[in-house]
Amino acid sequence: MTSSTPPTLDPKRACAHCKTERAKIKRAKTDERLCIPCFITIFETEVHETILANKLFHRGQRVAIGASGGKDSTVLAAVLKTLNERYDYGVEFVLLSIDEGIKGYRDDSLETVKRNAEQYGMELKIVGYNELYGWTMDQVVSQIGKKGNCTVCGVFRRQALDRGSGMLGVSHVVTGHNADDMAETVLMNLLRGDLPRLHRCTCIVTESSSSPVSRSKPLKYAYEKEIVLYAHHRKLDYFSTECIYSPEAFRGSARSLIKSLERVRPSAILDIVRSGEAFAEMVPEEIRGSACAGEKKIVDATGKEEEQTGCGKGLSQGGEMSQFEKQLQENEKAQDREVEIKISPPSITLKEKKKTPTPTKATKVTKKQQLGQCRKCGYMSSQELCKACVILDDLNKNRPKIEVVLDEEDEDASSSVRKKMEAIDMSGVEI
Amino acid sequence: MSLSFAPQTPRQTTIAKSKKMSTTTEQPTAPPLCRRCKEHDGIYVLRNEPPHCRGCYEYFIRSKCVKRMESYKIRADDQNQIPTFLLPISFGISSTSLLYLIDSQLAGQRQKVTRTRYRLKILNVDESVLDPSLPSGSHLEVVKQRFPDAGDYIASKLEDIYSFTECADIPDLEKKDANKSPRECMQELLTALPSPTSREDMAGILRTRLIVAIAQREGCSGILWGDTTTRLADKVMAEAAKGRGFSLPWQISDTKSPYGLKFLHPLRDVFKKELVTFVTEITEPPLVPLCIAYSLTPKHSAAAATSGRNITVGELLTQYFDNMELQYPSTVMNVVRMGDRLKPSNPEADPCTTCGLPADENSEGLTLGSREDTGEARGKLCYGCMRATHGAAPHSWPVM
Repeated sequence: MTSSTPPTLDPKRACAHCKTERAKIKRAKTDERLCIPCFITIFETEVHETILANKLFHRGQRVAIGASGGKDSTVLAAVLKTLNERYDYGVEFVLLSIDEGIKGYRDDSLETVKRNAEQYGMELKIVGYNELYGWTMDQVVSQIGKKGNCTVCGVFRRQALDRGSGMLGVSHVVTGHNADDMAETVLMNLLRGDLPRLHRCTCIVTESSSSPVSRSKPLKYAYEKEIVLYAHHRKLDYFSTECIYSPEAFRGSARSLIKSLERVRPSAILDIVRSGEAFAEMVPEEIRGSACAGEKKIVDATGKEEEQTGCGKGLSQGGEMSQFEKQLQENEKAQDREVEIKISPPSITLKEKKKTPTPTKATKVTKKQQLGQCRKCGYMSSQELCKACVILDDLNKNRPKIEVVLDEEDEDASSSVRKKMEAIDMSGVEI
Repeated sequence: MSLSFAPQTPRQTTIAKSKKMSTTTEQPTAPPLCRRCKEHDGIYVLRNEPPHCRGCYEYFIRSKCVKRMESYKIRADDQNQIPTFLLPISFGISSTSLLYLIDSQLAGQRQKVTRTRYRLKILNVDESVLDPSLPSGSHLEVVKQRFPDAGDYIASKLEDIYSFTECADIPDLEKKDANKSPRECMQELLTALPSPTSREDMAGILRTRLIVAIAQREGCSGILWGDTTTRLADKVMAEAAKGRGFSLPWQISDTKSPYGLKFLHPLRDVFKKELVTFVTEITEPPLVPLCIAYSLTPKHSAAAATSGRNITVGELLTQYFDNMELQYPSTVMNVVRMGDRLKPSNPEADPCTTCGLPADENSEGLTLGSREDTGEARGKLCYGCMRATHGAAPHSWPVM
């Protein structure tokens, strides 16, 4: 592991690490040329170092891997299983999958997860939107259309992950977010001027008082390309289709920019992650509004983290960027007219502000901070109703209008949700 | 010279005209009146507002700049000495416009209060060492003829940085090879870098350090940069993409830089496209013949930008924001506003030996600490400089 090679090209094209095999891969991070076995080892070692440096796990812990069947989570599961054995972490890994109910996408990928569970000998829990909320994403989309469905999905997923963790008895979920995802999020938050999120988006561990579960991203420094290479050379069984409902706006713009940047300078992705980490420290205290692990702060009680928790497509809506632009313009006009009244210049920032405990501005701030329980489902919420229930109320309101026949079923669904939610004992889980 | 700019004037007017026509369809009479003075025809589209007349357009740009300058509260010191500012001019539209605006502000002050509030020095750094096609420093004379009273003009070359390296207090500084000219040294140094992006990045750093060194030699208390909103937004992203996120506050904020001088950006409230209209159609006579570094056609085609061929990170982001500005100007402005709110996390840190900015602390090698670094130790470098020089032949940098 202590190889130190000059970064210049080896004329013999030998692997920079073992010096014996022929190099097959050039790494974006360091420009090193490596052979396949060395690449596999180094990839795993880097994840291991990341885990150690951030003390992600401790012996005897039970940790859930958020598994979608895609390349990232499959590689994550494979690497963690390998490392757990190699370095004797003494951690019990289990798989947790969310079934959003998207035909032609999730049903197939879940089959992959089931096979993975067998291959890796891990316990698997699948939590379905249908059983939790009485709605599949297919039904949601057919009702509200493709606009804004990612927001619904994100809110649902966040809660579903918490509930699934509760069922599995784990307090830590690892997700497969990779360096590309991180870089994309950094750029997206720069484009949106979203400082609170810029502050926390590169944190490797995110904890929040609104969730009993902490999440971490051990693949934070791993390039998507290397993940694919790793999966390929270890012949991992993964499912490679993107969610069929993934409209993109800010994230889309950020994503294509990342891809171009990577082509120009392959290290750019890691460089952006590095900058993102620097930004985290540079966001002024008063607008951070959230916590990385280690910082004891009250966070966002309403699932603002949704975009970080799964499909990663974020709160995409058609014309999101133009909407944002319009809003900014209105703010500018308002500022021109009067100095005092602001429709909130960085609009998102103000929204986030409400969640911070800083007592400086607006009485609303303190009022909204009290973390209670959702009146309907009992999930942690700072509002009377949790976000999911608000969305469900909205969805259910419209249901009968479309199909009268569903009326009975509807009743059924919401009461079954309540029953099921009551059945899950969240209090037993450590916060 | 002006021939190369021929295409842009017609194009600009057609844009204005088409806008005019679209409004005239509603009011079949004359073009709409200027939204500000309501006297002259409004021809020039400004932001999202109805068109302005030429005079009001100029007033708008001028007041954006003047308001910023006022906010800096530039005053004479206790000994009644007025401060001097350095205005680096690249012969692009932004720095040329800034010179135009500052020149007329100073002229106004001379008329009204007999004495100006500050003195100006104008500097051009000839960068033909990077690329022979870049504008030559001799153009400075042409600029001087147009603005003879603006202040002293200083011509410099990028390789002049070697004449400043003596003041370095870093021991492991290797002096340039005595047998080679500074130009040869600079060329070798830059060709040793691993990629065009690294060259652009490091050349930018050397340029800034040279400008700072000259400003200090000339007794300036600050530097007036020509950056527009668009350029600053572009910088936010470009610095982030080059791993230099930590340095943003010193790159885009109006603040005292770690080099000891004030960095000010009087055009920070103006968009680049507005200056394009300004230099081509508003100023009388047009400023555009002076802007020899400006070209209407983007350096790279959209396809080249997507494929990433022969383009640098900086150029890619410049084009990205030039396009974004057309559709989402407020988003561009918001990026700058947000960048401006970031505060240096550790301004007291030891400076990076290459860029001279307080290095980001937890930079743990090129793999961000997820593995022992393969790179060799080369003095105390910040992450961005480490990245830019990674893989470069062991050349000595003109460390200052």
